[in-house]
Amino acid sequence: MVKKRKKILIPVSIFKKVKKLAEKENIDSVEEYVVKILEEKIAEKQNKDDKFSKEDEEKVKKRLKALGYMD
Amino acid sequence: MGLKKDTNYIVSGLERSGTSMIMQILYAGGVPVSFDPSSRPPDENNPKGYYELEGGKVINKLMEGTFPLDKYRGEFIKITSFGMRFLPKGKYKVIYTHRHIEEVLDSMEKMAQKKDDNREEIKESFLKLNKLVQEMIEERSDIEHLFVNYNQIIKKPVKNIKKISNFIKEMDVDLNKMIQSVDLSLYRNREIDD
Repeated sequence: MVKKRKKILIPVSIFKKVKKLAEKENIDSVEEYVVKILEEKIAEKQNKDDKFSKEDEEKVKKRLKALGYMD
Repeated sequence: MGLKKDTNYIVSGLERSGTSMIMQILYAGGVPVSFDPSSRPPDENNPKGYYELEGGKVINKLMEGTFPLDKYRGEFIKITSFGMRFLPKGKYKVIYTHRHIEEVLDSMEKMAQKKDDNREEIKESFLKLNKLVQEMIEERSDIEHLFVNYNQIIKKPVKNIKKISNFIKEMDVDLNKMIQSVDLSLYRNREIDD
């Protein structure tokens, strides 16, 4: 479920740059793209290492096995 | 004209990010897709079916290097993000779908029928996996790709399905049937407030 949203204001120059990047990834909505980028950035900030580590791999594998996507 | 017989066509993305919906759209448009409906039949989590091979357990075979990719050339198959890391060198066209991570996790919780105690931790891991695979797709010279967004397809099916149709320009598709196949009623309970 998409969570409730808050408005923020950003400079027009940044908006234009973000719009171009969003178009490259086929995302029509700048808002959707900003949310996607922020999600990734927050994950990076919360973890010093933004690489998909062995630990991440094990967590994902465990989840996929629980949901029947892997043996 | 059909899909190219020397190319593996793949629908990918994180689990619960709309990969089945993309397969369903392609199937409706007359695009060759390969799936095994008996291995994991439709259920309340995917009322229109999973469109998977071998119950979605392709990942294990890709990891072992035993998945017969050559058997599936010229038709779309579903390989979720984790399995994409084990794709051998080849010739691929990939439609990769992104969905809000909170929705992905909500859907996984619904499927598991329990709240996730480690939701924030697993969220970070899935986001990192998603980023890694998207970067890999962009970097590999043997992969042509189209990034799509599940939420955008729901909001603007015509515009976004046309992009999918343009991506598989090597064959004529039934665009109207593709658009009609997006069953908005399945998503009506979602709160989309932007």
